[in-house]
Amino acid sequence: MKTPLSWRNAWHNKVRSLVVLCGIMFAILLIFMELGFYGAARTNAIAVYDMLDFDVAVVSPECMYLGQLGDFPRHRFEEIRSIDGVESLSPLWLQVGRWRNSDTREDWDMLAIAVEPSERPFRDSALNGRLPEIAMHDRALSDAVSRSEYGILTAGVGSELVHHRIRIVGQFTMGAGFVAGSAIITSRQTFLDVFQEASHERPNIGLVKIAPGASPRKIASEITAQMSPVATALTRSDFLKNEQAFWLRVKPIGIMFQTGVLVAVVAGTVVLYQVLVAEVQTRLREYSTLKALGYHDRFVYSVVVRQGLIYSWLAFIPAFFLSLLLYLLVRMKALVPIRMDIGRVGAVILLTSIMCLCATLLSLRKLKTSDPADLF
Amino acid sequence: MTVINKIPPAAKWLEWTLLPWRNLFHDKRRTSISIAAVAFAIAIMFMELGFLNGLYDSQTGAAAFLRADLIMVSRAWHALTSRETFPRSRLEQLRGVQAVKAVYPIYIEDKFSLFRNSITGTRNNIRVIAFAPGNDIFQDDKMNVLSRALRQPLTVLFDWRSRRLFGPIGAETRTELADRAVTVVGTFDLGADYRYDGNVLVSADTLFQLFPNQNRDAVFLGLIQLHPGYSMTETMHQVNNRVGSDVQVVTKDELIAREKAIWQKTTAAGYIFEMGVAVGFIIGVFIIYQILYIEISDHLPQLATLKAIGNGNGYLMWLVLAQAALLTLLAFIPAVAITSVLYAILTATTGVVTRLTVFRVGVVLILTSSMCIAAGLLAVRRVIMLDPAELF
Amino acid sequence: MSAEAATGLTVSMKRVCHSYGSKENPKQVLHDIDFDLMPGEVAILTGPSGSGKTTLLTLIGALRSVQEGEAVVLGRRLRELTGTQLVRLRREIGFIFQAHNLFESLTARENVNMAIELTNCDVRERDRRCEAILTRLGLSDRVEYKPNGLSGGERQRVAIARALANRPKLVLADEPTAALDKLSGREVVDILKTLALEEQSSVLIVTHDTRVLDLADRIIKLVDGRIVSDTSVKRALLIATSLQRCSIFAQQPIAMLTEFAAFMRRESFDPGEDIIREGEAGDKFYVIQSGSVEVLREKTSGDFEVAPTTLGPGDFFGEVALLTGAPRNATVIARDRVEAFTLAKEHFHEALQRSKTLEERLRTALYYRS
Repeated sequence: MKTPLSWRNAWHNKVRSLVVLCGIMFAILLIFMELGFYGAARTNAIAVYDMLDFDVAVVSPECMYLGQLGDFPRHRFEEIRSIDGVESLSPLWLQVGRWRNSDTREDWDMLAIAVEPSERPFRDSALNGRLPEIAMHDRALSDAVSRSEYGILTAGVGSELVHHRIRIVGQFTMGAGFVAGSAIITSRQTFLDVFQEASHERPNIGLVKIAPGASPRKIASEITAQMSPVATALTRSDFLKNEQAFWLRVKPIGIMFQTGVLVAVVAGTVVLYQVLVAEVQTRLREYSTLKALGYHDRFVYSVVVRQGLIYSWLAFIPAFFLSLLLYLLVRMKALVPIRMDIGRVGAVILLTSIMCLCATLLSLRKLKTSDPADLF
Repeated sequence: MTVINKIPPAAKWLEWTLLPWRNLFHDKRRTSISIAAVAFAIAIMFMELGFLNGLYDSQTGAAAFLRADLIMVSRAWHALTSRETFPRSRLEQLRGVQAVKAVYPIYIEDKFSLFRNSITGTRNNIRVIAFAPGNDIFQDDKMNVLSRALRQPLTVLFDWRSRRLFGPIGAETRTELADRAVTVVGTFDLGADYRYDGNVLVSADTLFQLFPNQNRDAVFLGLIQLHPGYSMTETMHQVNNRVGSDVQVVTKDELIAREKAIWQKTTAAGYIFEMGVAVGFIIGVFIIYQILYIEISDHLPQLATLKAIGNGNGYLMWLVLAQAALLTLLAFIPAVAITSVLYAILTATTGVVTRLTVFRVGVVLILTSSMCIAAGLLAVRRVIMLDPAELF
Repeated sequence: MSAEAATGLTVSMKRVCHSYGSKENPKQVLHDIDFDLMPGEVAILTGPSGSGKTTLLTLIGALRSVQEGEAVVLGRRLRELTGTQLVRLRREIGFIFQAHNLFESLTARENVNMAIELTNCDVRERDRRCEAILTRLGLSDRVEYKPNGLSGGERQRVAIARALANRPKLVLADEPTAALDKLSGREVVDILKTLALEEQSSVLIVTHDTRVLDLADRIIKLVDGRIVSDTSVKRALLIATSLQRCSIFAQQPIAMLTEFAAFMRRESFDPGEDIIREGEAGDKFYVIQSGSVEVLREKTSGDFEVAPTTLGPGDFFGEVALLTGAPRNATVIARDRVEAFTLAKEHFHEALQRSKTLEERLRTALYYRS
């Protein structure tokens, strides 16, 4: 086995190496953090839709995002049953209303989702099974993952939604979103009683399930053709993507987090660059000696590159574990669904590699003189 | 006695001020890289601070740009995004109070206020702030003058910092608000926030014309301006005793503070950005320490030489601290430059006004200076223990 | 390339010049260097500091590009080599630097391994060679130490071990004994000599260390970038020992005598040949190595007849004319085959200037002679 010069160089001065590793680790941690928030925003944006079972969504052409859905005529929606491939239809009403915390008497925005209890609009069949419980007037299921400001929302608790008395009969799990800190599911009838300006005739979203094997895209364009100009249809993936795009590109959150990632990457690169330049400078004679002994230039470069990689990867591991801890903290305290996934790990690995590559390439400039004797 | 002590005072002063400077600039490339690294570390801190302050500033902006000493809100009110209103008569109750100069009701509509993009035709929700034009309700007098133009029915003033969804808007633009034709008669500067994509100002009359759900009696904010010389807090207590229990009167600053607290404690964004600042500061500060550590380590041989020729520990300590301080200060300038550019980009792309104020710069400066001194002091210990013989 | 390979010279330099500095302000440090090195030869490069010794060494070692002139090392023309060929050549040269240039983060053993690993041998062979060379240099109990745990002398020895581990055919050493004590220094040079002997490697050592001088075959002196002398040590010592037998030179240190020796030429004379004639201009000083001569003076006016003097090995003549500037005052004829070392007039005066003592003693001797 050949002498591991890069490894030895990296660890020659233990204290210094630890300091360096911490610095780089922190930069990678910041990247994990910002990307994590970005990912959470993405997940969070479609938390509601993710619960629903549909292949195609019908919405008003005015629909921008969950906070601004618009509505469309119901009877036109019913007409698309005739389209080949359409299996079932389910109209949905969504509205944000004021929920009173019965203890603090403060009002908070609550997202109300209205469904037809006899239908099965959710992907979770257990949840679908509970819908008959809300068939009775003024009953609702509440989100178990709600912010504490909403008060206690367990079964049996009653409070007011837009001054209308509602009783909670059970809970489901969704997760607080950016639109509102909590959500409830009620029957359509209850919803219309609460939100007087809403109309039975004008749902906000139309859920469409299609026959197995049918093409969602094809059906979506057919529906759009038929329902235009009062409504438009999107495939599930397009619909979800649009929602995410709105949150991440129009609302400031996405841009903030992306900027955070960018600054973290640049900072990490510059920090690693400084470390490697210092290394190269300190070891200039040694590198020239390598050349004098008869090592190729590319070997000398590889020593530096490997050292950069060693620092990057050794810093990555604690950064990864610290991030997991951070994510846990954020999940518990802010109820933001921030989770580690393979994609993110891969992305950070990629970004770390880019950082490392740029830093090392830049730091090698000093080694490029052709005569080893010049470097003595 | 060190060798230095035998040099005449003028030269000694030069040694003490110029030597750190010269040492630092001996290797320009290396020093620039270190300065760049420290600058980015500082930029990280500024950036996180910018996200956080952007959130708070933008969410409280609507209150901040209004002119008031005290503000009346519904007792159930807790945030500028809430919809709690109170009856106008409550404001009338203040007429007898000696300290009160004027009261102005403010109305807000954000539910049915779809503003049409004149180019694409799409409609988006916008926050509509309504008042009686002709009164001095804004901090900025120019706006007070501009607002008089709203006396004309169905006219609006458009916040040019609103998000681009609303399309290019200038004076004279005709478009639709709540499906009715309106004319834009001017623009003002407020800024979008995390809830609202934009703002328009209308006269109260226009508001009631456009939005049948609004009425004169559902006041959102009551601006209370006092005569000069009267204490705000005293008047506040006085007024609170006078009015009904369904409203509360707070100072404007208190309102803003409460708004900030709501966002800070109860929203995901608040928590995330606060955490961002904490992590960002830890990271920034550590990176600065790392850079200084490396710089000082690599220059220890020089210090050993100086020690060998007879300089005392005091001088060496000064050199180390002075160089660390110089490095940090020099890095601060590009850091502020990078930050300004970053903030400008963020403000332009998101509509959320992110500001660099003297106070904020000061906070970061204190933090970085503390870190630099800490790094220096930690390194100083090594300097004192330096054995010049190790050179050989 | 093939011509030189055929002759087997390790190093062959012709008219090599080298300058530093910018085009507008070049500083020439080497002027027309002509220099050869044979396999098995141990040569010493000496001279005042700044005379270009290190530059010459780095040029030979392929560590610096040759600007002017022809340089052939181990059969390759340096100026024609590609990058890869240069790299391969460097592997065949053992360069010992003035500063030890060890790898600080590697142990002594690993430092040497870095050189051995260039030969692509297997791990066991590598370890064996490493162990061997380090033991040879007396470092067997220090192999696991890093440079900062070794003394100055030990570090230098590790550097030497690293340079010699692959038994290179050409060893270039820049002040290898500078940090070493007398014993270690001698030891190192001994190793180099053995290497030269066993492997027929050429060794070129830059040094000021006079202790090393006596171990070399050849001494090349570089002054202001020019080779001012290039003498075989054997020959110089021979002359010096001969000179030592002369009373005037007897007290001079060997080093000084070798300086003269460097300038001296060997000349042979047949029996009966006139070496110098009376009345001629005096331009040489002679020391007889072997054979004998007769010194004859012309009859001067008067009745005195001076009998001819015979001079043998170790005797000198011809100094008077050089000292006094007058024409020769005698004729010297070889009686049998004479081998003499001659010193030209200008070198003689140079030598005198260097040593007042010598001049005084010469004059004293002359005084007593006449």
